[in-house]
Amino acid sequence: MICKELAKYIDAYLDDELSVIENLRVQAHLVFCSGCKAVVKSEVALRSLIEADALEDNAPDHLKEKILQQIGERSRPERSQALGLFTSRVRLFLTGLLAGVAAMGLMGFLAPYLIKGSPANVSPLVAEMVGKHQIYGQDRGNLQLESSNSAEVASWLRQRLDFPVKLPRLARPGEKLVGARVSSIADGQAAFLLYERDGRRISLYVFKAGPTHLFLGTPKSVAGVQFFTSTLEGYSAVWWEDQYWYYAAISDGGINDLIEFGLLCVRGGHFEK
Amino acid sequence: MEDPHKRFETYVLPYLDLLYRAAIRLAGQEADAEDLVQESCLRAFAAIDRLRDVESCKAWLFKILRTTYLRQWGEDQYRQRVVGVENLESTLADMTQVLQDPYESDPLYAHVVGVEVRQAISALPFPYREAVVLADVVRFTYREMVQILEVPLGTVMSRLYRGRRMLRAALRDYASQGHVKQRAV
Repeated sequence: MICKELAKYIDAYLDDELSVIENLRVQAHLVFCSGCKAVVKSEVALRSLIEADALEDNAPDHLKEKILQQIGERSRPERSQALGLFTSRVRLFLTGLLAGVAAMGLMGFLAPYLIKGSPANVSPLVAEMVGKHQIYGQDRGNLQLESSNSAEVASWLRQRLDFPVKLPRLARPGEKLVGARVSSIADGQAAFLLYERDGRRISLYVFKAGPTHLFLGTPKSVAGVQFFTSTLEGYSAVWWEDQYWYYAAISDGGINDLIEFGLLCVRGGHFEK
Repeated sequence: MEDPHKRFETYVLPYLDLLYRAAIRLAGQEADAEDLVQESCLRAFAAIDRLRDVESCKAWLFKILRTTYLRQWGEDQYRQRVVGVENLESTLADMTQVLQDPYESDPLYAHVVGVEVRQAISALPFPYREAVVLADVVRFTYREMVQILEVPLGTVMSRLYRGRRMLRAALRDYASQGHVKQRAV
């Protein structure tokens, strides 16, 4: 890839919209090109600035109250009609709800098809996570928050995600949290946390359980915990379920190291307040 | 059968802050943003029984927000600009212009304050403004933006590209003004 080519990919690269292969090509170029690296760094700064500014604006309390009040007023006549005449409007409403319930059974079928270009015989989700590990894990500039303070990182993620993230309790020398960013897996929100352990970088993704049929790996039960494992191009992937969330760890180390890390999350993990 | 109030509180209210953040950048003024969010929420409530796939609730809500904005605040403005915008897009400079941006001399926005970021976004022409807001404030994927904006993927990408470059240029101006002010103090 040359600089001119990379320019066309920059936005999609930073928006997590490239396929794994395209990501790898961009990343390979950035390793050697300081000019393009500066461009990417500046673009990240622009996005961070927009995001940080947006987070300062919250809907005022009186707006929420006003909306709830107006909704209460608007729905009152409909309710009395429902008790009396059962109007066609109410019938439509009920039909809509029934159809809505039926449609919920179809949830989760679309997201898997959004994944692009993964190699054969490898779960597309693993390929996506390995690709992102290579991007976010290599350069701290790609993190949105650099901090080894797990309480700070948990609070930062809590403000940005719809779900809580359980962080592993690290105890050994040589292991530390590096930082975090908001990412996506299969087009769903995901927390991305970067750790260093014995000189290796470990990416930890946390996301809502979703398209499991695209996430099949080799099952391995350790200390009563069901893990799934996979490898791709020298990278190891280990994932497990914890309540309603998936946790997945990626590194260029061995599977067993990641399982040990996974046990730290499952057994020693805690929700920061 | 789920009560519409409960559905509204479960699926719509959690997005209130996000709706407001987008609205304030689309409408420009806090009072207009509140009106826009309020009207959008009322429309969402009226149509809550038609929300079937709750996973796509966020995109559904922002589509309502956008439609409400266009109907009440910006439709004429948007229509008048569509021709101009499409022309602009067709004559977009080569995307490699990003490499000619003066990144080296970027003051890295150290002197830009939050209100200037919001002002710079609000000053973008609407098609670029909404693309930047949906991608960088609300964090929609390109695919979701295609659904919300009802334009092809290429158009989403080119508007986003153009919008971000315009925003960068505007912020660079703010940054250098701030830099000058600080030096003068």
